[in-house]
Amino acid sequence: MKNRALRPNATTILLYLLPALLLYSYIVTFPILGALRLSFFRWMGGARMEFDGLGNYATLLKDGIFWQSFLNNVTITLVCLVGQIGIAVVFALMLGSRLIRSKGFFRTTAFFPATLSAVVVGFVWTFIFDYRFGMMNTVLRLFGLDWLTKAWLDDPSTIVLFVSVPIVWQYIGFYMVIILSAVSSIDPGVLESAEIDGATSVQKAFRVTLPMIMDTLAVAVMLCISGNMKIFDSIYVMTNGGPGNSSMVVAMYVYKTSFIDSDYGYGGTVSIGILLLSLALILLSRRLIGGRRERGR
Amino acid sequence: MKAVKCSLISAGAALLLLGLSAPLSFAGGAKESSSSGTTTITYMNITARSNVGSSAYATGLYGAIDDYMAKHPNIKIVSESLDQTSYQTKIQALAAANDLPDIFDLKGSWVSIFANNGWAVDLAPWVNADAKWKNGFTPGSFAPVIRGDKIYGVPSQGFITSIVFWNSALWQSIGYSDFPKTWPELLDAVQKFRANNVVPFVMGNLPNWPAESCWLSTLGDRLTGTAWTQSIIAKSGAKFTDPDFVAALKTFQDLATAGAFNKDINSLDVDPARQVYYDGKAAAFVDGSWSISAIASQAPADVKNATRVAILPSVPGGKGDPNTASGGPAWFNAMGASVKDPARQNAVVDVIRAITDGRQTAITASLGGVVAYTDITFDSSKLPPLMVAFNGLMKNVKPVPIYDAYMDAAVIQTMNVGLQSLLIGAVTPEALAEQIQAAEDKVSAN
Repeated sequence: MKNRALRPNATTILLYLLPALLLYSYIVTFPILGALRLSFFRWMGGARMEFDGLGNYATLLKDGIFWQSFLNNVTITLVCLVGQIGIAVVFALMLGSRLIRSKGFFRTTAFFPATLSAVVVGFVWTFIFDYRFGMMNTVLRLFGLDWLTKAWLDDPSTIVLFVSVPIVWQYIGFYMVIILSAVSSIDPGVLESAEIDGATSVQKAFRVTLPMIMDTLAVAVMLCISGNMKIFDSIYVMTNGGPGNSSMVVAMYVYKTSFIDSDYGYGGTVSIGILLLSLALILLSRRLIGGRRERGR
Repeated sequence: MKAVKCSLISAGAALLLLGLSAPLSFAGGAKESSSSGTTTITYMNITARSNVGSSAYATGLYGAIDDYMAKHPNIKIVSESLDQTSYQTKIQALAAANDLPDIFDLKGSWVSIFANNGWAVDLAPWVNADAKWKNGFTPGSFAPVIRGDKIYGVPSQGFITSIVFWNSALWQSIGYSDFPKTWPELLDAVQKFRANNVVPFVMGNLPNWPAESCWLSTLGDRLTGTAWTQSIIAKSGAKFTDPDFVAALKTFQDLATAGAFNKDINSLDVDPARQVYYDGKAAAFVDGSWSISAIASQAPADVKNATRVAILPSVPGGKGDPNTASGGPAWFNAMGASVKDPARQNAVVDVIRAITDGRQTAITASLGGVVAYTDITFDSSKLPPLMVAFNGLMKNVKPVPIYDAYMDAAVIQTMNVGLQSLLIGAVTPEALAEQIQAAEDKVSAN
């Protein structure tokens, strides 16, 4: 509080924040409060709206499709944590090394999928996975591996992995750019002194670079979790949640409950459910990663 | 200075709020606009204008719209078309937001929701006042949209949703000169096709309605009989867990287990599935009468000439009449509740009449479309041969309810999703029957 004289008073701060706050409330806070209100009602969209207390929440706890969808979200998130951030770290370290030429080209190429609409990405991968004309099966046949060809998007036991592939592919570049910027902000002196001490590239990566970008990684993990908890579009295009409900994710379940079954009350309950669960997951990730960092210091 | 700052901020906030509300008020105002005496009527549907020529219904529909606008220069009909899946999303969202177009396609299974919520205008005063129009439709056409004495829509086109299109050349190659009349024969044919590496029936069940609308609506009737379906619709005692319906699900699953369908059944879409049949890689497919004009305009000559029509065979022990196929109108023209002005309501009904009466249907029927409005005379000389064959077949076939034209949307949703799992063995018939009944119970409780 050294600069107290320069600090504007609370009213002024509030006024400065007001436009942004209004906008944020209009598009975020109010809809969430609206969903919270809806979640206590039985409402099919019309004039009849009955208060049902916690009835919808009791249904939610026993709703097998909701929990299966949530499990799918968690699986996709885990695949993406490894696939997106893992590969992004490797790419970022590779691009950081002196051995790679035309870094600009690789950086742009890797980032390109992140600029595409998820619907486009979904369609592209639907074509790749297509049983009859898809690239996947065509390539396998080309190498005489016919026995490996299959209807990729038809097997409920593996479908979640296959719908994760496009999501991983699309966002590697996004995380790579974030991590690259963290890597490039490391003082070169630190790495040089490690080299003078005789550290190999692998040692430099694990002992110097990674610990120094831990803060950024924590943010990336949080982005990854929150992003994958609301995943919808590419899966909607690829499988529409099928076969059956095997690739259903919570956002799609909210959408189907609200807009196909016209059960807006329960739709609200499901959205509040996923809001709380994602918050819990994000807090958990902060504890896990944040905790380790503090112990390390 | 502070005062200036404050007023600047509040001006900024006001501008921001204005900016937020402006698009809303603009959207609301634009809809009712009737500049220089022209009335604009919005019409949202599942029939794209780009299908004029290849689809009999689209040709008839847009012919009628253009004709109407030419005769009524002060009426402008603005139509917007989406594919069925996207349309379903959009129309339900528009309904919930109270922003429906003047005329829209209403599916039979949505009628309860739209009626209970007051989203669609009761058309009974107009329909009942025009006896010639009302009686021109095939008997029972209005059944899915009648609630009490109210009528929530006018049938758009007639359908038979369950016709077997079979490639006689391929069936000949396994020794069948005619389509099987009984289920055991059908299973035998499936074995023979499998041995020859031909897909017996190709199904594009990605959008998940084909298995229910085109297969189960008829197969279910074979096992349960129509009385059961009527009881389900009237909510008067029948349950999805009844042994006959479970048996229908089991028969369907056994057919799939026997290898009757393509491996990519749940990831293939409807049009690509038809392509597999055109390529001669599948021996048959079961689809609605809308496929007749598609085959006539798209299939290669050899497949087109070899294609015959049939209905699903009888099932031993079934309670239903084997000479039936699910059919009737499934889609209806409805008026959005936002049309409140009586003069405008009259104008909207006049357009609905123009796109459903003889003007449209005569064109549609002459091109091989199946129509709900039958009080017409048309030139049958240009009918595709397959259509003639279909008309011959239908002389002895009785239409039975299409499930998704009558049953509630949430029930149909559970059934459609569950059938995807059923056909790949991921759920048992008994478990699925219970899920569907649970959805039915939930709808009834509301």
